[in-house]
Amino acid sequence: MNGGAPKLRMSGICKAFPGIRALDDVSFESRAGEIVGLVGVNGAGKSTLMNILGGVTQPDKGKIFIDEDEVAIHSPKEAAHHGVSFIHQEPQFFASQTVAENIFISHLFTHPRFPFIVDKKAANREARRHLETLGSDIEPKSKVGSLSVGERQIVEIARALAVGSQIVILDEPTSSLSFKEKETLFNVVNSLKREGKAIIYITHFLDEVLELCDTFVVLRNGQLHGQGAIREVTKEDIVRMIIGRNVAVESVARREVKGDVALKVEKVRSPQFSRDLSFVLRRGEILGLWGLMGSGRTELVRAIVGLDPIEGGSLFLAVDGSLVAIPPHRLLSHCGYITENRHADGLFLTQPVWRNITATALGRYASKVLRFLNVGKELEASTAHIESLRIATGQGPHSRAETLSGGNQQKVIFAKWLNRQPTILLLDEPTRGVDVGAKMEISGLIRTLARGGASILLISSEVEEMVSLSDRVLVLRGGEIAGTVEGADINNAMLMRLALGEEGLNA
Amino acid sequence: MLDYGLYVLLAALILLFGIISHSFLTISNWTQISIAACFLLTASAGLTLVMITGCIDVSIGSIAYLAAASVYLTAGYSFVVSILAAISVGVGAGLFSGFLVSYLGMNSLLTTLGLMIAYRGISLLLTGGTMHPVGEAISGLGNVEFFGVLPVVFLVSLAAMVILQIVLSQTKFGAYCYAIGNSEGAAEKLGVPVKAVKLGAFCISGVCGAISGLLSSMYLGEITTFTGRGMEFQAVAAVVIGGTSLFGGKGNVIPGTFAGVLLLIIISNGLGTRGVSPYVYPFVAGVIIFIAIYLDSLKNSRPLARG
Amino acid sequence: MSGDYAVGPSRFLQRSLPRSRRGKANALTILAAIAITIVLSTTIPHFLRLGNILNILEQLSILGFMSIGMTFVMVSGGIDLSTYTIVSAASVVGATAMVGGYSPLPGCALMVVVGLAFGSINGAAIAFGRMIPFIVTLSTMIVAQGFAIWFTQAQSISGLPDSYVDAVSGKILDVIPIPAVIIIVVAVISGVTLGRTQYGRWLYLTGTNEAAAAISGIPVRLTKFVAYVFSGLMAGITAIVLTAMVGTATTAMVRDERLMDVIATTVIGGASLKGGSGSVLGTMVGLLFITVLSNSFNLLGVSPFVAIVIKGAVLVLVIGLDTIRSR
Repeated sequence: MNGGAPKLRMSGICKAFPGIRALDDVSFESRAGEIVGLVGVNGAGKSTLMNILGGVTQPDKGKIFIDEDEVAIHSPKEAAHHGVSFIHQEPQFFASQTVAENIFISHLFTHPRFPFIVDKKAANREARRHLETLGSDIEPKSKVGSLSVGERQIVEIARALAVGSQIVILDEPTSSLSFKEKETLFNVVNSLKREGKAIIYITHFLDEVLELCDTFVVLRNGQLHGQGAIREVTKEDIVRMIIGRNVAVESVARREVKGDVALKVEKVRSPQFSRDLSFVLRRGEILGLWGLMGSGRTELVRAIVGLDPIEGGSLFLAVDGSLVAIPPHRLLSHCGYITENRHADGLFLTQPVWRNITATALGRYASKVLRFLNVGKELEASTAHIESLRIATGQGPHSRAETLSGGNQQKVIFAKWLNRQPTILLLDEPTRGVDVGAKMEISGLIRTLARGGASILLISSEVEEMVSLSDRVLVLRGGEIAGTVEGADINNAMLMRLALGEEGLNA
Repeated sequence: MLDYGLYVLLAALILLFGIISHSFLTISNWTQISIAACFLLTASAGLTLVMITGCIDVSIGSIAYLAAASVYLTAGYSFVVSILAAISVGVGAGLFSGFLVSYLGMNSLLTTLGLMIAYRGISLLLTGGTMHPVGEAISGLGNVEFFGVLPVVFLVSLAAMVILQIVLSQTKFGAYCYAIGNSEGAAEKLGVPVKAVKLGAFCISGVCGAISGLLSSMYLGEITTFTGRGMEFQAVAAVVIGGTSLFGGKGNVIPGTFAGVLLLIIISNGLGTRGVSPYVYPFVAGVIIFIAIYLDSLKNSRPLARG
Repeated sequence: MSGDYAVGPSRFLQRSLPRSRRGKANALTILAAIAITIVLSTTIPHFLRLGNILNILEQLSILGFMSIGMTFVMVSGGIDLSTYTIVSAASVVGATAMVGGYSPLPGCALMVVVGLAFGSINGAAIAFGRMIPFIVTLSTMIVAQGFAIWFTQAQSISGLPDSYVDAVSGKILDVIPIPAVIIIVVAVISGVTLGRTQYGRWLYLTGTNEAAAAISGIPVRLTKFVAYVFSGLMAGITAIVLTAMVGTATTAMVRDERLMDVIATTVIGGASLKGGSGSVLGTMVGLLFITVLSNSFNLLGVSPFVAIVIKGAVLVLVIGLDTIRSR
């Protein structure tokens, strides 16, 4: 749109983590007074790219130019020094302090004569000025803790303005906003644009990209898969770039799953859902739970296993052929649950692998009366799992879990649940952060388990994985079930359409 | 809700004791109360700052003792020397604790717990474990009364409170303390000099603890093995009751900590004027602290972050 | 390559040699403790005399009970500052009963009950109330102390029945102090429980990663609750033995400095403030270290005040080491 050199130019950026190539020769531009949308599914590389710009991590290869001067950014402080403001998804604020204090914390206004006394009047005045520039009427003297999420975000943006940033990165800013707050945010972002800032808007909501941005960049699997001006493309074009051409996904022979119902979820209500949800899961079935980030998939699973409170509804588990009502926290003891973030709640990192694997079924190894643990049996079981899943450990079952690679850690978690021999498996992003080889192994394992009669609920952000594994897919959008896709109808385009909200399945 | 509850409780207690005990609402009783409160007020003021940053300092009682010991040791000299000695003790101890917690990243509770013991031991060594008079110069100072009524110790502690409240609410340093207590990570990212501020906070609590010991030796004219003993826990109680959260980021010296100290002293004093066995008080104090921290955790505990 | 590790003796060695930084730090402290013991026994004339060793064992017991309780709590990821004042509370209650005419058995039972009661308060607040361990146990410490003072009106209780004093603090065959026997029995039972039973494993896993433990189906809250109740139980047992050894029940049965010792012994023994590590055996080694240190102060004629300073310094050092090895 503007002529002349771009404010920011990232060129040839490469970044690899153990086992994964996060960014592969990505080049990216952002211009002053323009909003560029950075799009792609989870794990496509958007966060990594921005973390590099924000000084959180360093690229293996590639250069960054600001105003055509090459810069090296080694820390968030240096990024700030170069005029980059990174507004994260999780707002950074000081709850008990005022808006003005939050905005100016990095350089507080001081009294002309006493440089250690804070000049609150000046701070309030200036804060009001910046907020007005953004079109907001938030009172500078109010405590940030009492503001809504949307307002806190605006305070952060005002902070970026106040420190004089020229490049502002917004990371998924609308995931927790209401409709009205979104509108307000858009106005604020447009004000920023009018101030001549170069704005990078990371999102997976295409509607926002189309409405707000001037240009866009699409990342997939760490590579650039499209860029251009918004007015020159349609939504379908972008969607195609995000999920790729309908490359002949191996048409997996969909098994006719006519098994009995293993789990029935009826009218479960919870704060995150806009409506109550119901579905069934059959024996031997892989039920995919699809939707974009923020659609409520993880929340649904956490609610039915009782980790988060539910407000209503009931669960039924098949026991000896008939469905029995069961409270949520009891369901957990009948399922295997592989969580989204293995480091947070999936593994005991400092413990050896064998203790990790047996953790879910300790009762099996304990003597009847005194509950002594038969370590020999535990080791036997762990070794068996290590072998059957081909888990690469440095020193066998005694290696500490933290020494394993991502893929192998994930396999340990699988082993942990398989050890319990559950009939129902809840998998939340089972191949996230796992290298290609391990991904294939895990996918194969999931299919084998289903063939063996286990019922599997699969959450994945990777559309290919969802398509190739699921027998049936529930699509969530905005906290409710947008549709169910079965058998042969499952393909990339269909899933994306439902998740993004095209009207009607048969449009 | 809780914010005003404390003051309502305070008022109610004053009323209660005034009614059920004749000697409670007298000038002499209140003089006693204000003097008893001084020492705790000073130390608690400094502690408030540290707790706002999210740390804790349980060595202040021993620092008070050490400072009093230094006053005793400088008894032969002019009171200026004694005062300087006490303050240097506070600064030194504060710097040391601050260094260990802020720059070496050690756990503030256990580190200051260990230091509490070490400083007490040093003081015992210096004083031989017995009580000593502290000399004319300084105790004479302790007898000075302004307007014939207000003892100098009271004024000093009041001044300390006022100064620290001003520091907290009006200076950059104070703003930094709150920021660090609210979110140390965010503060660090936004350029707040976290380490230096924490070091400063510990220095302040060290100095306040030292001044408390100084005042105690001034007023009593002597130093005993009870000087400062157990004061740290009373101070923590007062600060928490006064509204400063254990999680950091919230609280103030005036009116919060002031009211907290007052509450504890009044309960102890009130029970005394009623003739209640003095041994009820420690038990009651403990229960009150327990309730205070329970309410604090209800109000302010941060939800565990999820993946 | 998986499955490709050595067998037999070399595997044993491979397994026993610590690979992690933490493991190496633990090994070092244990070696240091042994080394110091050797040095002291060669330089101090009466160190290795039987009388002295038994003396050490007897002293060990008091600190030992409290440290074992602290070990369980620290493995679960918490801390218990109240044990040493609960001892006083338990002691005065039981002693009052015994002096008032009850026989030793109910008296001792009362001490245990008081310990369990306070331990339950701690456990309930921390495990179910989700409150912060250090501050909860800090206030329990104050409450217990206050309770002891109030209960006795600050009087100490003497005149305990001989049957009690002899039974608990006497000597078997005139040589082996009974407290030493009790500590050994308690140590073995707790060590086995912690290291080899299901509950012990629950404790370690809960302390390592509470969220993962909950998801794995481990009853996290119950596990933590029991740890604090156990610590209270240990306080009760400490009261039983200490009161008999001292012959009186006072409101300050255990000096403040002993809290430092307890923390130091558990941390030296491998426990960490973060949770998930530590062991009864390690604690015993740490205990040996601290007791030897204290004992040598006595023998060397070191002023008790200097001893206090050194104890405080040791704690600070130990915490510093733990901070470094946790990085």
